[in-house]
Amino acid sequence: MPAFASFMDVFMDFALSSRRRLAGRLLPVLPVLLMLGLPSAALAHPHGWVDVSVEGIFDDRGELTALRQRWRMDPFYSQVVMEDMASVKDGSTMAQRLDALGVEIRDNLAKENNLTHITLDGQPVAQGKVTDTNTEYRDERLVFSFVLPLAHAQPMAGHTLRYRVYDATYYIEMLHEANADGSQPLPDALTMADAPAGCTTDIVKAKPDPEKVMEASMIDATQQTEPNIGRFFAETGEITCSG
Amino acid sequence: MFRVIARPAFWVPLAAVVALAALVYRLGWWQQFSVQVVLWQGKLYRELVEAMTALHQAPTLTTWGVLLGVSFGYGVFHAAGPGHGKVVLSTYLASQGGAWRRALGLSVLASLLQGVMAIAIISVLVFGLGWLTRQAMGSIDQAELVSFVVVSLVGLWLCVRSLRRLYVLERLPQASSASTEGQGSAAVPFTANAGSTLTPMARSTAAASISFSPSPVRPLAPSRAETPHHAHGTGCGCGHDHHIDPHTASDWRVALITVLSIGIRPCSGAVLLLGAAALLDQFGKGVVAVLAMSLGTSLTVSSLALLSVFARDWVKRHLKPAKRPHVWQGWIGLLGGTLILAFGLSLTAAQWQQGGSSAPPMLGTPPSPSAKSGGLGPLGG
Repeated sequence: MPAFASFMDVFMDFALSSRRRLAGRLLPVLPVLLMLGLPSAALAHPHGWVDVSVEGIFDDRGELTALRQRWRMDPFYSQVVMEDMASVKDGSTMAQRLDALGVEIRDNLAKENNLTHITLDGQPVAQGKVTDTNTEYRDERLVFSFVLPLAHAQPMAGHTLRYRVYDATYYIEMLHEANADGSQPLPDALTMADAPAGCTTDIVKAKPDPEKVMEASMIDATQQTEPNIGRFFAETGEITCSG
Repeated sequence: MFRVIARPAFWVPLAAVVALAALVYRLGWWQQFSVQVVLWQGKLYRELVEAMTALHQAPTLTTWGVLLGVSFGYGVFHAAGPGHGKVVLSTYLASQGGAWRRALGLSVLASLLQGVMAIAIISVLVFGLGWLTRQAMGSIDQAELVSFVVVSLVGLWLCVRSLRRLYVLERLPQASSASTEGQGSAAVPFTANAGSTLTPMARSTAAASISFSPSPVRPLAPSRAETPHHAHGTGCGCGHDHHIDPHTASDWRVALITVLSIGIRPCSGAVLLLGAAALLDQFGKGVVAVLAMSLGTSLTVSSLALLSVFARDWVKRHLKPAKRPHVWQGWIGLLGGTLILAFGLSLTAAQWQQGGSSAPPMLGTPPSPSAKSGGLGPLGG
């Protein structure tokens, strides 16, 4: 269904028209900016957000096979995307359009490692192809959910698996579902299905190191690359099983 | 030809400011503050969306107050981020002169214009021409390109104007320049050496005299180099326009075009807010919120503008050319113009390369939603 673009394209449009590109072009005047005391001269900041929840799925041998994720887009983006969806005049039903949207999002995300970074005891974990995508509009939010399989089922006894979900440019802030003031992640934000006894979960808040953030944003500015500071602001989800 | 009036009152505060800045940077306070601002910006954006939703659900005095407050705060902190407007305005003010009142006026005008442009884009494109909000957001790209081109034009204009003034000054008879301060070195044949004024420090060393200029010696000719913070005579009305400036009209034209160059590119946050508000049938509330946002932006921008005026005046008070302040001012004006021109051109070129594939859509025919602008981002596209 090519008549409409995915909402990831919408994000892209926002992103493209945003100030974040400016950051990369401010190099010639960086000294001036510093002189003026502009605090975050080279720093991008989020213009939208996604509330993330994750479920670790175990098989009957007690091995971790996949991370099921649910992303709730912020209300404004949801509105704008739904306007776009409603404008399609090809006779398709809304359910069909949402399905097609999900496929597009899935394909876009595949190019970006699904915005998910997984490690086991510090070593990178390979991902399989995303399955079971679903897109719906609920409570004025656009909700995209999918299953992200690990390339190989992972025995967890005595191991800790960590994942982080983030947009590298930090144009979109991606955090676990949290309470009203955003101070505490909700218990539902990270759960497990069919986990063996002795497995626990934890969500570790980001503690961005200002020195490193500024250093990275300076490199982005001087090399005129996209901002790459999202990693500093990403939460870490942990699944640990006792040996 | 130029004499540096140097005294502890100049060097001590300057050294103190530099030392303080170095300390703040070394201790990591600057970095810490920067990251904190980014976190605040993200939080304020969430609160903005929530406030709009709350007002939509229950329009009470409280929800109105929250929305206006959050919008204002968003404007304040959003303006602390990257943006070409502040650079252009500060450079303009620092190099072209102008009192604090002008700095204030231009900052507020530019900030308000950004909000008004956002309102205009949604009104005309979405309500008038029936575009989708996301297509209207795409038009910010074009507005940005226009903005950068106008910035370049402002720079070019400032350069031409400074060159013209310098040329006129060079043609003036020697006597008029002798009427300014620094009679002692009047023998220096500066007319023939106009090109070398770019290195005034070297020449001032050559003059080998440090002049503690007595302040009563004021330039007789109208001098823009001396305008604010000058010592007033007793009979002075103290309005800052008491120097009759032949260039006033042209100054205001450039000033307004500078404002236009900055304000023509709306804040993408404002367009998004208005678009979402329109979709919720709350366009009027969105307009009010965007105006509050613009006020917040103008607070930050005008603080920076005042800072650059203050810094300029302070430097001028202490580091004044012994001779021909007009020429000095001319070169500073040329330098500022060149900076703005270079800045505008580099922004235009970068925008041209990145946004090259997205031609401005024909008016009346909304662009195909699948048409994408040039660059690729992390989320696909």
